[in-house]
Amino acid sequence: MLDDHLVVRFLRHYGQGTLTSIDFSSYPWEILIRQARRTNLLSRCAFFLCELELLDKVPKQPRIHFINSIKLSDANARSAKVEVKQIYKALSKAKVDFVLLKGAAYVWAGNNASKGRLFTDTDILVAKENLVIAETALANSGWLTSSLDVYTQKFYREWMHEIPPMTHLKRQTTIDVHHTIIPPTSRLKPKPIKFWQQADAAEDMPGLYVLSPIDMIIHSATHLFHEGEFEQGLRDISDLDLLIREAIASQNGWDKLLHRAVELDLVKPVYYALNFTKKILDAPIPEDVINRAIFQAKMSKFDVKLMDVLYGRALATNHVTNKMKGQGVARWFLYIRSHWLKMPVHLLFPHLFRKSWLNLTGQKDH
Amino acid sequence: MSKIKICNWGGDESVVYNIEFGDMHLLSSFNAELLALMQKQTVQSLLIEKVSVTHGIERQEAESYLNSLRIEYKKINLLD
Amino acid sequence: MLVSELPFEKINADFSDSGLCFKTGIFNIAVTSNIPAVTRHIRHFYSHYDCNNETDFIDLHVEVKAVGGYRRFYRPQVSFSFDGYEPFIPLPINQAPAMFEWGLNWCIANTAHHYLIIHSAIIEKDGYGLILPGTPGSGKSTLCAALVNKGWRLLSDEMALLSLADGLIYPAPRPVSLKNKSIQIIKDFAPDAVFGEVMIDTLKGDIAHMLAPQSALAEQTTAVKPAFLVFPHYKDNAEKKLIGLPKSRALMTLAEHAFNFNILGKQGFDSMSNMIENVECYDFTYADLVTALEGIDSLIK
Repeated sequence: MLDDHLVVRFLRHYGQGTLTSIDFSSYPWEILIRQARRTNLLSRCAFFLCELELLDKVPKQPRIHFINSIKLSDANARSAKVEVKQIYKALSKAKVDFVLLKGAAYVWAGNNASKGRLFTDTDILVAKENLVIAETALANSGWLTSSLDVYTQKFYREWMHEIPPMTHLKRQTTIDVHHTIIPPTSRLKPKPIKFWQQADAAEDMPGLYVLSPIDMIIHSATHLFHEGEFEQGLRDISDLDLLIREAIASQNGWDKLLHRAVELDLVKPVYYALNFTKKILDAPIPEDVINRAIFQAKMSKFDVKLMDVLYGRALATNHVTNKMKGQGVARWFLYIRSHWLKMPVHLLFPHLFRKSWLNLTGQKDH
Repeated sequence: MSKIKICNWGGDESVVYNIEFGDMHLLSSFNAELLALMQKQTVQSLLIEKVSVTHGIERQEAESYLNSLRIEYKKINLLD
Repeated sequence: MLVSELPFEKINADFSDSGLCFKTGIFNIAVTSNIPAVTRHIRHFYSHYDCNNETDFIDLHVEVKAVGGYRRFYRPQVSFSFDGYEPFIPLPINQAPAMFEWGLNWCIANTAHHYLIIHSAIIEKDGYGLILPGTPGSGKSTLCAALVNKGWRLLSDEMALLSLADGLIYPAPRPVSLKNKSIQIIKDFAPDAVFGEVMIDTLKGDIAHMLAPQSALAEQTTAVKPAFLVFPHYKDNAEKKLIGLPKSRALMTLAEHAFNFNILGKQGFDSMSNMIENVECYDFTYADLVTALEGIDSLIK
């Protein structure tokens, strides 16, 4: 199913180290570019080509699109660094420590998931007791709470226990200030203090942290598979793939990951991450690691099968098969019709699933 | 590598571009020149000399002028 | 082959399933739409554009389609999408052709980062490129429409594509978009100009498009060297005034008009300051098109 997807195959080629062997002159670049753009992965694909010094082999017209998309992710990284420095200026004055999360953290740590990564907001984690001080400090430096209506404000503060996104008056950049890893209303309750304890301190900037490489994997997995933030599904799977390959190189590494997932009470999302990163992008994850994750997540065989079918179905839904016939007629049929992007949320949540059984089995292209 | 670029076409005003931050400032050409010197870690006494000669003011006054300029430049990220 | 040479049915078929491809400047565009007004718009304004071959690489695939759902029965809307991404909220369906044009501008401004893209009209005469940046109310489009009917060549009425590689400005000729009173002003000023339907009450007021003159298409691959940067200011009853503008000021102002200035970073600054270095910069106040034309023409004499 997903294998038919050109952008998925492209990412697999990169992972397997076989990107050099594709036929550069007859490769259906236009389709790749469209699919990659659609999934917010164009600059990542471009980065891979550039990194392997393959850009010159790409015909001129598609090459321009790749180069331009690298400019976009470069600018993104540049402005993220500036933003982090500004946030640091504001928060260090108020003596508030913070952890960078997601895109900004990848860029700051300079890890593989920062390759061609596009993102808009800067996500930070502060201790709950510092929340008010942080908000004031940021407001004094020009970040203002977006003009939300009273209801939405209340929603954020009371239900999410979070500050609504703050936008900088001049630069129009947005910070999301978190004090927990996942919304406090959710079933899983990982203690944020546990993330703090193993966070890595940034060089020369006391008080600034990024999550440890293992925790970054767990956090990314949790976001994708627990919060159901699937708008960027394939991009996030690619992040996980890159993070996993980079952080875990030995049996010892897998043991650490699983151990940590149990400790944080986040085995289930980690299982999904391992399972689907392997299935979709062929991440080198040993079968027994996945089996141990299933065991530790206390998932029944039925649960496992169900989720596989479910995701498989969800991914196949709306997905017009790519017939690799090059440019002619195929151009029009090859094209991805939303799959990740429009995947209904109810498909993704096991605990919501049973209720929508009927809906789901009757799932049609829509 | 320099963090700023200064464009001057002979007028009283210069454009200063902050490469890292990506923003631009319109400064008097003299202040822009001082900025470039500050960036090069030019010794303070030379700067004071330059300011007092150009503006025809006392060294002490020149020093406080430079200090407030430095503060402004730091505020807008032109100096660390 | 030109768009107009496609068999009639083919145009319609192409629109609904596989898309119709045409070239503007260096861009190969494919558009699909199920809205008759968009079909009419393309047939009217793009009939002299080259069609692409099946094997050509298409840079931008865009879709303009009627929004489904129950709303379509009482308040039909149109959406624009670029490879599935919708940069705008849907608009009332009568604005579909305008949305197509705005959407295409958006796509170019957000992808063509091998250019510094300046929000301005760009025209040429005798090899001199003239940039007219578009501050709201400046009358940029009106002035541009007038000039391209009187001997200047249209490169674009919306964006100057300044190449980072060679410092030249590249054309992407499209119909000129005119608003409100300007529509009648240009119809009076240039009775031969060809217009489309007026779209009433769009986001930007009443809008009508004017056909890009033949010269714009004939030379759509010829880049120009920028020679003049003129900030137009339309002012009722004002006397015509062409005043030199310090380059530092011009640079500060122009940066605000560049869509991708931040994305290009230092490269963008360098190419903009290089260009400013080599052009004459003016503020230009005018009250009517006849004297405005004299003023602009006097630059190249």
